[in-house]
Amino acid sequence: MLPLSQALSLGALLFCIIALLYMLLQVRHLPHQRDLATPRGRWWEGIVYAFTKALLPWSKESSTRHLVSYLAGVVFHLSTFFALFLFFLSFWLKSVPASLKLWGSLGLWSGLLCGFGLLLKRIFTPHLRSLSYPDDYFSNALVEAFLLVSWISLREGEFPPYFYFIAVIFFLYLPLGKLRHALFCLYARAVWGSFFGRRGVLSLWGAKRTEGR
Amino acid sequence: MEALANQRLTLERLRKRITRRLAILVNSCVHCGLCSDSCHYYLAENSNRFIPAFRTDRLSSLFRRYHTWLGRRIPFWVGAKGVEELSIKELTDAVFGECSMCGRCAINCSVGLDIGFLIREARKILAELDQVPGGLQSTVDKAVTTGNNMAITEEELIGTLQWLEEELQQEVADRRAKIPLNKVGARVLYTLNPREPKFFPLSIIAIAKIFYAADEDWTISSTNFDATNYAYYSGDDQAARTIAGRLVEETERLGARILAVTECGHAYRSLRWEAPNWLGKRFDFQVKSILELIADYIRQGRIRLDSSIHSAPVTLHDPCNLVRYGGVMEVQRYILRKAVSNFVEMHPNRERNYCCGGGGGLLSMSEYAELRLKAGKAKAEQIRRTGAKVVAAPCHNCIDQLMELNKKYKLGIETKTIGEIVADALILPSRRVNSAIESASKKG
Repeated sequence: MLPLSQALSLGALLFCIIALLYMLLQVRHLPHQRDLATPRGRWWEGIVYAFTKALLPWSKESSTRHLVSYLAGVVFHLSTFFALFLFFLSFWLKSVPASLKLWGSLGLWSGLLCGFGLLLKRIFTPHLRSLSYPDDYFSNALVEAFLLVSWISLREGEFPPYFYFIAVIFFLYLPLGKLRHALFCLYARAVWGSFFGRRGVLSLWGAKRTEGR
Repeated sequence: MEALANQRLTLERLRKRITRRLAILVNSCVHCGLCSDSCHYYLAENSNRFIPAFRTDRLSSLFRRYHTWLGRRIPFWVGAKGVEELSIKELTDAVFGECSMCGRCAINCSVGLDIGFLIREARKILAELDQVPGGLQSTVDKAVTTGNNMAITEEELIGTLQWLEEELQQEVADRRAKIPLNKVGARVLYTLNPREPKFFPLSIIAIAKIFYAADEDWTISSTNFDATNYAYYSGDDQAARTIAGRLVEETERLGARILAVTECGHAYRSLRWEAPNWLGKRFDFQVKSILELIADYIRQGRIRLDSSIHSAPVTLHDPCNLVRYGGVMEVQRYILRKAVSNFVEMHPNRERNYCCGGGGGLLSMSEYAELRLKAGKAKAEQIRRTGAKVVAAPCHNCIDQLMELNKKYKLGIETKTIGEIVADALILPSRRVNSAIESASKKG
C-alpha cells in the first residue's frame, strides 16, 4: 500500500497525462490544411533540424545575442527533466547512491540558480515584464519549488511527503497554465521544422535546396 | 450597438478560425522575449509594443479567454482578454501597420513559432470585419475588379509592350526579337508586377533581352499578367483565390509548362506556395521564380555574361517572401557571381536577412509610411556597412522601399533588379558569334 502523498502524486500525474492527451486529441481534431504545393526540401529534414541544429546556441540570432538567458533556459529545463526522473525513481529507490547525490545536487542547484535568474530577469526587465502575466511568474516559481524539494530529498537521501505534495501541485497545474508548453512546444517545433524544411529553407547539411530542373 | 455586433462577429470569426496550427502556436509561446530584437520595428523604436510576442499576444489572449480552462475562470491570471477588451484599432495597427510579416522572428523564435502565420490569421479576422486599411483594400479591390492591381487596361499594356518590343529590337539589333503575347503552347508564361509596365518598363526589356539571348519560347498574357496578390497581405483568402486562380487558368489555357514569376517576393510566395492550397489542387505546371530560369540559362550555357561590365561593388537584398518563406536562396547569388565582378554579401543574409520594411502590403498603407521608413533603419545600416554602390533586389516592393530608404538615410546607392544587372552583362548571340570568329581568326 502506497503512502497517501505518493498515491496522491500518482493520481495527479494520471490527471496530467489524461488532460494533456485530451488537449492533444482536441488539437488533432481541429481543421488542418494539407500543403498541396510541390515541396522544394524535405519536411522530415526540417523536423530533424528543429530538434538538433536549431537547438545549438549559435544557430539562431536570438540565442547568440542572449546567450546567457538561452543557456540558463536550457539548464533550467534539463534540471526539470532530471527532477521528473527523480520523481519516478523515488518509487523504486530504497537509498540514494552517493554519485547520484553529488551530480544530481549539482544539476538541481544549477537549475535552481538559472530558473531564479530567469525569474529575476522577468521581474526586472521592462520589456519582459510587459509580456508577463501572473501565470508566467507562478509557473517559474512552481518549477523552482519542485527543483528545491528534489534537491532537499537528494541531500536527505529520502523523499519526504512534501516532495510528493509539491509534485501534486506541479502535475495538477501543468496542463492548465503556461507549463503545458511542455507538450505544445514539441509539437510547435515539429510544425516549424516541417514547414520550413518543406520549403527548403532549413537544411541539415548547410546546402540550400534549389528547385529541380 | 455597432461595437457589440462587432464583438460578436469577432468572436464568431475566432471560433471559425481555429485551425490545428493556430491552436498549437498560441499554446506554445513562453513569453521569453528573445524574439524582440529579431524585429526591425523593435530595433528601430525599442518599444514594447513592437516585440513580436507582444503583437501576437492580442490574438493569443482571445484564444486563452474562450478556449482555456483558466482563461474562462481566472482571465487575469493567464492574461486572457475578451472581445470587449480588444481594441480593433489597436489590433489593426499592430498587425497591419507595425508588422511586415517578414518572419524574421519566426526563424529566430527560441521555441519555433511561425509568428508571421499568427499575424496573417489576425489579418484574416480583421478582413472579415472590414477593418483592412483603405489603401491595401483598394489595391486588392482593383486587382479583383480589373485583373491587376493598377487597373492597367489590355490596350494600355499592349501599347506599352509594343513600344518595349521596338526598344528591344533596337537594343539587340535584331528585328526578330519579340515580346510574344498570348502565345498558345509557349514553354514559359512570364508574369509581371503592374509597377513594371507603369513605372519600370526597363525591367521588362531586361527580361525580354534575357529570353531573347537564351532563345526561350515564352509569352506574356495581355489580360492575366499580374503576378502580385495583395489579398495575401490583406488576409482575404477569397480574393486571394480569385486573383491566383486567374493566372493558374491562364497558364493552363495557354498550355505553358512553366509559370515564371517576375522579381516579386510575395508574388512568388503566393503562386508557388499558397495558391495550390487556396485553390485546393496541385498544378500540372511548374511555378518558378524568373531567377531560377536565369540561373538555368547560365548553367546550361544558353546565356553568357561579361562580369567586367559591373565593376562597382554590388550587394544583394534578400526579399523575405522569396527567401525566408520561399526557399529561393542560392540562385540569385550564383547569378550575381557570374554577372558582377565585385559581389559583397550583407550580413546577416539569406533566411536571416533583415526586412527592408516594405513588405506586408505596407507600401500601399500611407498612414503607416513614417513608421515604415523608421523601421527600415536596420536594413539601411546593413547596406551602408557593405560599402556597395548598387543594391540588387529581386522584388519590386523592396526596390520601392529601398529607394525611399536611400533618400532618408542618404545611402548613395542605386537599386536594380537582378534581371537588369544580368541584361547589362549579357553577351548577346550576335556578339557571341563575332567574338567566336575573332578568336578563331586570332588562332588561325
